[in-house]
Amino acid sequence: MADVDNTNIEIPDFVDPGGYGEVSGQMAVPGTVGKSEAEEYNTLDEPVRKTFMRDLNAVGTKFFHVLYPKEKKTLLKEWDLWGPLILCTFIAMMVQGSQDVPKVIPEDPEILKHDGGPEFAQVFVIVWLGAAVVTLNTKLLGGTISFFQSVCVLGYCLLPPCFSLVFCRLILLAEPNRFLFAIRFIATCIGFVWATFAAMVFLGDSQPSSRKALAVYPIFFFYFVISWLIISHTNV
Amino acid sequence: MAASGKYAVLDIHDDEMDLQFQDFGNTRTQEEEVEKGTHTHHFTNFPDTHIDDDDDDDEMNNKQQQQQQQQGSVLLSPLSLQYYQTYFNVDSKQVLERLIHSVLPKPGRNYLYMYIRPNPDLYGPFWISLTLSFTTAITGNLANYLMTRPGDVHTWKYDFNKVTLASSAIFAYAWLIPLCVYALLWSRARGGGGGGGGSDKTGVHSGGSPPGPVTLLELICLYGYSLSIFVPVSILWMIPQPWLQWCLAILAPVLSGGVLVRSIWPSLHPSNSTSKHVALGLATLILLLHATLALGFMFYFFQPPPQSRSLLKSPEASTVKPHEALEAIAATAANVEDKIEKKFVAKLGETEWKIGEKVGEKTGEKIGEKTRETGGGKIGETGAVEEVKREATEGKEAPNETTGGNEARKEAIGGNEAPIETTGGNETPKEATGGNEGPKEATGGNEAIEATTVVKRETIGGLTKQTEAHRVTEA
Repeated sequence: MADVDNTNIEIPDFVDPGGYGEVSGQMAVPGTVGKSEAEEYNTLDEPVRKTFMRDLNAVGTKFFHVLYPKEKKTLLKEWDLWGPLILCTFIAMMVQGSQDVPKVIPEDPEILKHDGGPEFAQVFVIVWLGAAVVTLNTKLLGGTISFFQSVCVLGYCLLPPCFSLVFCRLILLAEPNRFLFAIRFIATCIGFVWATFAAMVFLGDSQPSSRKALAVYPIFFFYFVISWLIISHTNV
Repeated sequence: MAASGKYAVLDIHDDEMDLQFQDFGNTRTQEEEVEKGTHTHHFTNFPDTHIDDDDDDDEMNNKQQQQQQQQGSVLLSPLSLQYYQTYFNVDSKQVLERLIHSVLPKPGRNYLYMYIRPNPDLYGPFWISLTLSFTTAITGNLANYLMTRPGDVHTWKYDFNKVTLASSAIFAYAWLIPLCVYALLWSRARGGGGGGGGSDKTGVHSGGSPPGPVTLLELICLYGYSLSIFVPVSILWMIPQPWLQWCLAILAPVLSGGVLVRSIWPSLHPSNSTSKHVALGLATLILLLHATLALGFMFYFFQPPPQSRSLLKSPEASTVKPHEALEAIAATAANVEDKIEKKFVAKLGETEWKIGEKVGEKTGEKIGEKTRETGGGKIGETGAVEEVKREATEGKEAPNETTGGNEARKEAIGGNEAPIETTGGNETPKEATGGNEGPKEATGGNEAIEATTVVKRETIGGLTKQTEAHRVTEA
């Protein structure tokens, strides 16, 4: 019977069952069990530069695989959304309509204060919501790819249109004429076809063949709209 | 449970236990075993797994789903993806067939029964609406560009807002109108005795045979596919020939509206109903709405903007004196007033409104030409007349385009303010498309500006007063 007044009794809070020896060690990050102690440190402990470079390398590798779409595993298995974010922000910043139209064309009596282009937010919404809708469509048609993998692929494949946007912007520095417009048009077309082809390579196998055209059309349409935004941007 | 610990849990000669473990707790089989009391395998208990032979991973999933279906109800939750997958269960070939036959009204076949009824889908309506809204906006911009290009200079008024406007109009038409038609048919069926009416969205017909009432999903499908003809038509509308544009504007709604009405006709006029006139009226209404959409597109996106080609032919300032110009303006404004009065006082009805639109267009353009030829300083007025015209066109499209109506009102206010502002010689930052050129007007001379603005105010006041009065009578 416990004697309440007697406070001399020590009640141990851990009863050692015995026979196990010393139970202690480090809490290692999963996956590093088995490595030597020198390598076993948390990614929280590493220098920021190393984290940054690792992610930058991942993004750079994926950009390279988009330009030369031969190997699919990198984009699909290890997806990330940094690349799409960078590309989308860049495109939206370049393509948005501006408030000050500096050029005054003498023959044109309409001097516009806003050149009619889309707002930054509109472009952003088009890219992200468009990618989400295309992905949803793929899944509803019976595709076997996951949501974020598909958004990652669609975002990374914006790289060719980005290149054509930069090229068009450089061309716009010169005095506009019909020949230069044709060059811009061709550059935008190349970017568009490249993007669609790359996205098809990555996403094409996830659909049954009887529905492949139904799944490819939204991708085509998505890059078509973005290419139209790029070619329509004529204000430097 | 086995009696002693010596026996394994999986006792081989005990079929019942074996069966249970293999089935992972299949209640149905357990019930059967209890009822029959035998130890034999009943292969007829199992669901139809021979259908799903190719998918080993989802075998268990399909078994459970099909057992549920065998029990008589599909228990898919609207929060799961499988529920919506049933609406996208089409192949490329089927979609292509539906697209092609939505514009060919064949007399012997009903589009609905042959192509849509077995398997209505939402892929077509959604992507066709989206494609059409972007195509209309893009080709509208291109048409503007092609019609206003002065030589080689690429001063292109690029309007991204056309996209938002077009998509609002098209999605409202393609998704709300089927809802209204469905509600109309449903209420008719209810009111007419409830016998032949279908109020079931899942497509369970009363008779089980093709001539059943049309469901909401099928209506959305029909309307979506009927819009598909406008995609190539909007590309062809870029060609700036008015006769071609009108041809297309008549042909396209007739064809696709014909297929639409033919498909819905059995539901509008079931064989046991005697009200043929009502059915005819409804069919005509559906056709008219379709035609209104087509004409709305043509007028809003593909008409040349008011600084038309005649401006480009005489770009230099003319030598007409200001007071002559004022008289000309007053005369044309009076003409406009008369014409608009005649047309707006006419009876209600969409065909009348369309005539009013046309007249407003033409007179607006005439005023534009005349004032342009008389030199600078009249730009504010053309701006205002533009806005009145646009008000006229956009007021008609109020049921379909609410955002368009708001824009028109904003622009109209801007138009009224413009003359007042130019007297001050100020250049306002907020400006509609009317064109506000302070420097040019200042060179005209202060007296001229004041005189013109007085007249402008009057004429503009007259025009707007007129239109507003008539709008009141019609409201």
